[in-house]
Amino acid sequence: MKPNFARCFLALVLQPRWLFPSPLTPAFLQSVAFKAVVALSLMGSNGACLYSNQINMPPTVTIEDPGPVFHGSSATFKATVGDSDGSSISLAWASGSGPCTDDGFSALLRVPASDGAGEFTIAELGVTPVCVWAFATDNHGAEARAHRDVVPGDRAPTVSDIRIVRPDPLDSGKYPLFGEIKFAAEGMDDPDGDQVTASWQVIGPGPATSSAISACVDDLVADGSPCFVPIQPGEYQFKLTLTSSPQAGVGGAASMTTTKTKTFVVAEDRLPCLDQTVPEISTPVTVVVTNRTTPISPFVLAVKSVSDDGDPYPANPVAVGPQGETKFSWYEGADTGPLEFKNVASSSYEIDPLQHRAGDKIRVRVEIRDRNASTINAMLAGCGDQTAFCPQTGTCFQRATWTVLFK
Amino acid sequence: MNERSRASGAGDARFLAVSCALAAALLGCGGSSSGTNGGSGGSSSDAGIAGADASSDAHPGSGGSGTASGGAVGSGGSSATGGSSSTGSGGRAAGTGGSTAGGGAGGSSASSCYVSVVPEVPVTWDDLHAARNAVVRVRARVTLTGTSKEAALKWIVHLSDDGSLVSVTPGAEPNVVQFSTPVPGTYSIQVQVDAGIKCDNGFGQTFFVKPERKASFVFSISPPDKVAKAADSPVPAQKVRMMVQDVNAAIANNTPGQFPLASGSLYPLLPKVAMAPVTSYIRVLGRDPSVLLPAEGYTQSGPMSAALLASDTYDILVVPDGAVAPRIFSGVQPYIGLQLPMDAGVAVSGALRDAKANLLKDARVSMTSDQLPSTIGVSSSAGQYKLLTRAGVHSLVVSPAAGSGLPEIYVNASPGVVIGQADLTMTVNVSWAAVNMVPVSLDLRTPDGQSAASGVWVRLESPVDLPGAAVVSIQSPSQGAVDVSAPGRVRVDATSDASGHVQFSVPVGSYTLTLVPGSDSGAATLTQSLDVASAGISRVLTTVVPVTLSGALLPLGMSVGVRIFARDQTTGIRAPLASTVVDANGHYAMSLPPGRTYELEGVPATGTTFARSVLGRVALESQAKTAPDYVLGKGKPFVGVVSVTGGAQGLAGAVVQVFCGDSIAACTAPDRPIAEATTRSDGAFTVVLPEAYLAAGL
Repeated sequence: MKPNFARCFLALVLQPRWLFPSPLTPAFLQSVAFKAVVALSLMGSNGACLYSNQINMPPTVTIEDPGPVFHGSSATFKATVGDSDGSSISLAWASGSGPCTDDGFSALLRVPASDGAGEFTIAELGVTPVCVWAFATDNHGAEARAHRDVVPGDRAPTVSDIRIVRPDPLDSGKYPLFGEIKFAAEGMDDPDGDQVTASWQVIGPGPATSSAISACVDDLVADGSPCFVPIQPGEYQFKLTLTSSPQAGVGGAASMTTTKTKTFVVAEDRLPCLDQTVPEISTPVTVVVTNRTTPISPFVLAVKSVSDDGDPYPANPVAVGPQGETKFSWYEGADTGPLEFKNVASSSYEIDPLQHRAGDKIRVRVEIRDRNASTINAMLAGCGDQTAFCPQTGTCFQRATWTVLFK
Repeated sequence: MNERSRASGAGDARFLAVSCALAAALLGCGGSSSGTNGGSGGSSSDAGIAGADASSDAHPGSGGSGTASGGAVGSGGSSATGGSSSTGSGGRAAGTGGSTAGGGAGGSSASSCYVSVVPEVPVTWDDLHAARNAVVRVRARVTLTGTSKEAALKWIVHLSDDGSLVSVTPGAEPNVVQFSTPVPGTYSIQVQVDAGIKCDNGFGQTFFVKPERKASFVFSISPPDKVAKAADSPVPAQKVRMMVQDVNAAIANNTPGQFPLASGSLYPLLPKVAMAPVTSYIRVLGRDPSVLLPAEGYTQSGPMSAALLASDTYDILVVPDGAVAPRIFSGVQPYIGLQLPMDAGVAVSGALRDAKANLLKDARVSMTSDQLPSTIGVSSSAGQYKLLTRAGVHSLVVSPAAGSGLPEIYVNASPGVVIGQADLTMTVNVSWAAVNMVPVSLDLRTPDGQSAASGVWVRLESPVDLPGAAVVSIQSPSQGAVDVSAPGRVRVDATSDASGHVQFSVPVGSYTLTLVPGSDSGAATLTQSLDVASAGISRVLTTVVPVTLSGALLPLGMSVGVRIFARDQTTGIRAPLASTVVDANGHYAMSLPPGRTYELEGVPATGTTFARSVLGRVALESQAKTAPDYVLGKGKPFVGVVSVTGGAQGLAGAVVQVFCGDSIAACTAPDRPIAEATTRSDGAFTVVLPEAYLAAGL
């Protein structure tokens, strides 16, 4: 029964004053007469004062499931409250770190729900579990509590693509053998803002594993990108594994991983090309002036540069990949007839003018090979022995022969 | 036969001191009636060759030279003739006839002495810088007339600033000396000539040595062909000097050094004779302090396209294939024009005879004036030869046919063979002195002594010049007749036959014998002395095997992959360059010809911070040897960027070679690169430079 406070009050105050001594003494208030008056008054109130015979039921509160929550993000909680006897209810929230315990609320600072929806928001969850409390208090002071363990989760990092920064692919769409391939992850992110570790792996046709991944050396300014030097032709896969690293904590968010792969093809080894020589390769004749009155220093023919996919010369001095293995073979002989192989592995060849006199005419030849070439004495494939220049493709020469005139 | 009858030369203005000691000579010397220096004026197209200079600044007293040459062209009236020689060069200068050589009429006592001093190293007096190891080598050219006495030279070099004497070191020839220029200042060179006549050196050569160049590296940069020979704004190969301190700063600040290259223009070079192209070898040299690297070309299939910087100055050597004398175009500036007109040149011919007047065939005759060669004259079966050359002072080499055993004959550049500007022909006859030829029979065996060593190239050479090996009779319109007693040197080659046999016929004497086996023979180059007695000799010689030079390169474990080169430092015929690679244990071993001293150089593998360095020298005797432990020099990576001046992007594919140059005292091999690299797509390159050289900039 719902009390009627106004009517009950009137019933009490409208009793004849003569029924009561003035002033009211304690003895009177404890007398049977007084009690009888009150009883009659309450009866006369037509039930308006009959609340005292009902038990106040406490409110109820439950915290709704907020769904997945993630560290680094906000989480909003809603509570469902009720009161069986219709008491008005106030709602408050509290949260504390760690798993919930029955009395874990006592030390928490309660925050009254500030809006009508009665929501509670934690602006940024950490990586450790949180206990969220909701407190519902009715107007009779009855209180109900609810708690919910909140374990922040971790979202996987993301990457949109793997891009080969350099070199440009060959016309065939393949990439050059032995060349340093620099690759980069595009759109790499972690929605939780975690630190992300990228792990690269190369899966190739041969023994090419993640150990083949190294820092790039061909950058003027290192940017931390990984590089890889393929040493066999064929199909390769770059595999990128991203692992997020939430902050450490007991029961905290676990690491998440994402993988992405890119397939590319490495071309067959190509032949080396003589680029720059002294004398120039386009100058098949050179002259040594045998001035006997001047101290004679060796006359030097040299290869200044060789372009090749794996064995360029000069080799990059700071390259950490496979060593450049350009091989130089020098031959010398008379103006006509066979040339004799000279066991000189250098990029330059010295002629001792003391062995010659004005009017002599000799030929000097250089051949270049890369690491995949056959034995050093073997003739270059497709080149006749007497061919002065050995072009395998277009203007790419593997051999140059000069006639040296001693004057 | 030391008599000389020498005209006064081609009017070389570099003649420093002239004296006409006798009054009679004065008529022809200073007072040359022609007085025009006509001969020396020469062809203007011969700029840079002696005559051109002469026309520019012949000084008082050098008139004799002008007269002489002028007379040669028939100003014959040249009044000062003290009597023409019998050779008929009637217009010759005073005093020349006084020579008894060539049967000259003699009688004139006119005499004169001309001395010029020319730089050989470096090739000009310009842009000299003081340096502790800087050396200047100079040559005196002495032209004497009217005396038969051999000129003896006394050199006096002063540092004019404080009057101190500079120590002079004799060169390979009596008229060549060298001295150091460690401090800047004005240096003066005087040459006193004791030739029996007064040869006053009242003048002298002075030159200025600039303050020491700060230690710097020279970066030799060769753009790729498509850039170097681009039709539009080609970028020729050039050198860029960067001070070591700037290199250090770039390394410390991790900022790349900048190497902007100048772009030039393409110039077609095509020598022509009477407007007709003549196939030629061409060498273009930038003059100091040019930035251009030498370029070579061959015009068989058309003009040589040379990328040149318009503001630079070049010397262009043209060596035609055919019967046209080579020529040097000196001091060429591209903006003036690059025509290369050629003509046949001066024909030099003569006969070659042995001591019995037998005509010698298949001998070669060549002449050289500094870096200008002649064509090669080869004597016919009638002993006659002909070559073509240019005016100037030449050295002469006459090489008898292989197997003749006669000495090779030399006339050195001083006194030289003088060809006047107006000379169109010259006769040079050679008569060898009598020598006692004896047989030398060598049977070569393989190192184990079991088999004949065939295919071994054998050189037998007299170690020193033999005086009076021949008389060279020179006769020209301008110079008259001159007989020169020429030294010679036996230098014979042969290759052993299938039975390992080699046969020579040479004069009695001491020789240096060098055996160079085929590179696949397993034997090694061997040099030893051989005395040939009057009865000749017959020897069995066993070739030798290479011996092992081994050692360790420190730091162990970090020197793996280093390639070690061994360069033979022996005077004379050298053993081929050899190399090996340091193994994983830091050890190396290579087989080398014994009895030689080698310079070892280490070239690191890539991916290390070690630098190329000369490790040391090792004398290798007949037994295997372990070299001292060497430590590979550390280096620091230096990053540079090559670009084209005015260009926005780096230049890819350019070859960069770094030289330590003459300004770094520790530099041991200035002619060899200490680091090499190719520029990447952004024009950047990385080289590892030796710390030892970088310290020069601290």
